[in-house]
Amino acid sequence: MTRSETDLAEYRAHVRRFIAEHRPPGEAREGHRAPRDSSEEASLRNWYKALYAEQIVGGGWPVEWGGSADHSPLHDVIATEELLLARASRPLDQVQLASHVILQFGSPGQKADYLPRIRSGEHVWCQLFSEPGAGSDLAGIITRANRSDHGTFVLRGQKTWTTDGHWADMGVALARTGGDGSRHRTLTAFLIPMTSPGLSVVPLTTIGGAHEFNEVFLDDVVLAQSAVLGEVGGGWSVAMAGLEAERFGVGGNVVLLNLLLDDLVTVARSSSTDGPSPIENEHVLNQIIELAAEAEAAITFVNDHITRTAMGRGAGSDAPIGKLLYSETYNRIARFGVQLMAEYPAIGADDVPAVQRLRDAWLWSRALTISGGSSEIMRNILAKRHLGLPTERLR
Amino acid sequence: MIDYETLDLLGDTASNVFRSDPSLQQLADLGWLALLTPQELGGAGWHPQEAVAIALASGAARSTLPWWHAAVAVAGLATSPETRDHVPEVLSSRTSATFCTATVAAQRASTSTVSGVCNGVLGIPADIVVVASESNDALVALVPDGNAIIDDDRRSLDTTRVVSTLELTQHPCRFLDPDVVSTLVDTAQLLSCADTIGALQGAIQTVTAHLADRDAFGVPMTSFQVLQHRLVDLTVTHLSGESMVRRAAAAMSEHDDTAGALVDVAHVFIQSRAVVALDDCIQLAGGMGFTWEFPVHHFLRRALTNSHAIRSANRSRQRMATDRGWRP
Repeated sequence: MTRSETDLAEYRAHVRRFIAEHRPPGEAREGHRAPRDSSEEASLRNWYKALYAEQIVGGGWPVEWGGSADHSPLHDVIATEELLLARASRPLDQVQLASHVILQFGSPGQKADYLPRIRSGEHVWCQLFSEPGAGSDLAGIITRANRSDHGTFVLRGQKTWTTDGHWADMGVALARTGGDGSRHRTLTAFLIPMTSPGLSVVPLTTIGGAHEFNEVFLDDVVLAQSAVLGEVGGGWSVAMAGLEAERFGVGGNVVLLNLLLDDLVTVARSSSTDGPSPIENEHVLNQIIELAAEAEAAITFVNDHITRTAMGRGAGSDAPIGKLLYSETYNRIARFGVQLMAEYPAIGADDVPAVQRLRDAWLWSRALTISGGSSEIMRNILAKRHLGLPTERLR
Repeated sequence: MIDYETLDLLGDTASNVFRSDPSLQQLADLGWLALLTPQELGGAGWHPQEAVAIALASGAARSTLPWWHAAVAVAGLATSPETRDHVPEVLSSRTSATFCTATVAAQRASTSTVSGVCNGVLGIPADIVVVASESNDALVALVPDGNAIIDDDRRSLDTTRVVSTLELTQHPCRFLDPDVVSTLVDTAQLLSCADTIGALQGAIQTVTAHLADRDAFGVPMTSFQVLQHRLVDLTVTHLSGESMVRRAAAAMSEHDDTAGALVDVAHVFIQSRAVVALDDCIQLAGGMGFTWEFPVHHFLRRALTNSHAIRSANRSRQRMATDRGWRP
């Protein structure tokens, strides 16, 4: 074992201990991440604050904003893995996306205003990008931000799929500011308080029955010039930087695939009143083996990408591939588990948590293959970036 | 730790070498037959990662040379004092050698002879054939000539290499440390998988270039989203398979206990998906893909041979299930 491997093993042990000692009560549930009441919300905010204070989250930020001088991206991977293995609540993707773009594009004032409040758990963030008519085709958004005579911006439009919008304090919004140029160059990113007059949040219920995301209506919400993130007309770069970070983060969760497989095997092994357990059926066993091979492929590719990136040899197309492999394999494992339970109705009763987790995961899995750029958009990106293929001409 | 820079460079070099249609002697001169043989016996040491990088390139080039079969064979010869005399001759390619497995029909007739049939044998004719069997207490038979019947493998569809069957009747053999034989078979299996992934890469490049050259309905065929998405799916299979063989090779180079299990899972993933992906490549090339002159079918035929030449995928699946404790 090399010195760095020893360091990483020690870091992992430290993170594992910290999680065991400080985690909020209960097991994190896929697709049911948002707090259900004020008590849960307070508990979650304290948990995020503790994770930032220990630099288990946000360790990669610049030191002046609370990051660690000897941070490695591998520390982030270890933290994610340990949180997942402990089935503890994970930090919110949307908050990490917001901090990522504020660090990259924010003014000194914006950084001073917002970054400490992310670390303290005071601010939860959401992302106001997608609209009813523009999801995958994000550059097609129509929410307007018109400049008033006073130099302020007035936002009007509707956003949707806003994860955590109902308890977020702040949002990163994308709106069209107009002017000459392509539709990509007329977009601007804004930092918007979710308590702004004119802003209203309406819940959307997921197929899993949870309140995770929302519709957000912007009726003449007034924002100062200082709310612009980056440059006016530079919103597309902000959105892309955020989505890239999100895609990589999704791919980094591959350790979940092994947890899902464990649940699948637990269910397949459980006794059945109408015959042998499913895993004794060679056909079922072979399907589990094939899914395990797929999971290993996803895990191996993502870990390889992480290592290459840490060594400065990462490829730009790796993040979309990681997202595709992770999200689609996750869906297939969970789906097979639920199908197995349907085909063998008597199984699974003796391990209720595994049954519940497979059901939750299957219903949640489409969030992974659709959000942050759907699988189809990932394939479009890879066709261009990796294979160098031309854009399809629309006629 | 994987040295990506060195391995990427070696892969580029190997691609150039195979494009020039080299002889086995040239590969021996480059030291590629010696990558798995100890230095004290004239080899380069234990370098499965480098061997995998070259196997990826040889598959993509549809190389006819059984170079890695020779590299594994000589590594096998090096394990026994009774066969080490052959090592320098094979490393210099003055003596040809190949490696195969007898996984199905090998029978122990006595403590020192073996009878059985090996299918999917590559690199015949060869002066020396090293036959390994994991199923009979780990034996290795050295077949110089004589009482072995060698024939074409009539099941083979391979057009890039000669595939043979080998029938042994009470052939002299010796029993080795099971771990030694298992490592030899794992190494051969890994290189076979790398060759298949290389073949898939070669086929994807061929089909993509073909579609980019052709117009339909007034636009390049590669501009159609349905074709783009299918090419991307093939590429994802190729790249994830490549990651798996590189990871298994890294574990093998460090003599990690998990190496054998990583080879099994790579084989399970690659053999079924690569053959399907290569079959898809023929479909994507349209009518041209159906012709003998369009090279993709050669890649497909090669991958089909690779899929069972060392171990069958069914055997790898069984090993995986046992390793994970899933077999009741």
